[in-house]
Amino acid sequence: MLLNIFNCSPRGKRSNTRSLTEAFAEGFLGERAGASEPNEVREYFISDSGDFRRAVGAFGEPSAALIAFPIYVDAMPAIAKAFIEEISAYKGRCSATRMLFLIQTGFPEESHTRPMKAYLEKLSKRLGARCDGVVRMGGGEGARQRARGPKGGGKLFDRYRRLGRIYAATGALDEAICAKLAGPKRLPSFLAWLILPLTNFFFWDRDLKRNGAYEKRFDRPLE
Amino acid sequence: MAECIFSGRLSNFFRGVQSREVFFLKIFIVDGNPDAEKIGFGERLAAFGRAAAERGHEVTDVRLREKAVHSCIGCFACWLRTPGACIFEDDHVEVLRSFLNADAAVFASPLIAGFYSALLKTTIDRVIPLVLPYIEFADGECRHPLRYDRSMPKMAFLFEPEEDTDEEDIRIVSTAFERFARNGHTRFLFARPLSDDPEEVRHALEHL
Repeated sequence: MLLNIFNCSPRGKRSNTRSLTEAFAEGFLGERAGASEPNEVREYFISDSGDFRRAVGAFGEPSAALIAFPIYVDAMPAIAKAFIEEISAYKGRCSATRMLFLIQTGFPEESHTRPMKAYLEKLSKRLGARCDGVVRMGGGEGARQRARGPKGGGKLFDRYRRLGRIYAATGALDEAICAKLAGPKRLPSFLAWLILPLTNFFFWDRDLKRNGAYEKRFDRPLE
Repeated sequence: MAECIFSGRLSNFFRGVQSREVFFLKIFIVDGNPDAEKIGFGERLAAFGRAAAERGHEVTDVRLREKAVHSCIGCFACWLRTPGACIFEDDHVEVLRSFLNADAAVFASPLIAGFYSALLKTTIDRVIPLVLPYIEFADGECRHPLRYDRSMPKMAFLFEPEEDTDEEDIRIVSTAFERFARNGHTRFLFARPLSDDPEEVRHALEHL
């Protein structure tokens, strides 16, 4: 089976999204499931203008099309929307394309990805393509660093590998894994009050200080 | 009415003083139609702007397709290197200033593939300098605190439907705006087709 990965992150090759799709692809490529031909993965980076055109052409191939992006201001980033607008030209001609999606957000709760899940499922229907599902992930900021850590991303990335393996074998996304990745419906209050100050201190303040911008962190240049 | 005029423009939509008949709002219209050839879009949006201005509201607008606005590249410089300022010094600076100073922002776009345009999304993606990188817990969810001492403006969405637009599409795009408004510490008022009577739209904006 051919899996086309359309990476619609503005960060492109340096994105958290890529670290997640790479783990998915690794699992996908590792599973033969009795197929006569080996599975194949092609990757396109929509933030690269050359790749953008090639990706639009590739979307029409008989394939599984994985569209992946981070949530930007509660929806797809603008370049992802530009790509979706282009592939809309395939409307009614997508019966050989199976669509699946991978979206992630920095916030932990699944509520932040819910509107996009509904949108992407409807998009598949609108184009006339089969929708194999939407992988959603909360707490995705920093995934790239985790993947490069000593444990290779640990349990999180193992889940993506298993997801890819199962998809290659069955043509379906494992619902239990997807539910775990999506994040909690609601973060317990005590956990939020405990974790968020630590995140702010160790993640954001650390980077602000490293950049020499800590003293300016509350600046209001538009006033 | 007279009392209202002499007391000056009411600057805060949510907490503003209300006369018996009317609010005076700063309304910022964001035209996200990418297609200059699209018949009637600009005229209908202008009709809404006139209806609001004739009522005494202060109306400003921007036609995004005539502006140079670079896409957000996710570098976080506006949070972590030059707090509050994007690395791209383009037309968006003025768009953002108008947005921040408005009481109500009216986004307008044709629906394309069931959602507002990539052109409009380019502008919306670049509102993140208005919030801080930190995460706070409010109303049972995480969100970013505001950078400025005021919320983002109330939001409304005027759209031109596609041939196959249905209730589900409108619900989906409204939900996305509701989330945007929630994370902007404000409210989403309504999504309405651009073909609605401009006076009705103006009235809805004033009374929600």
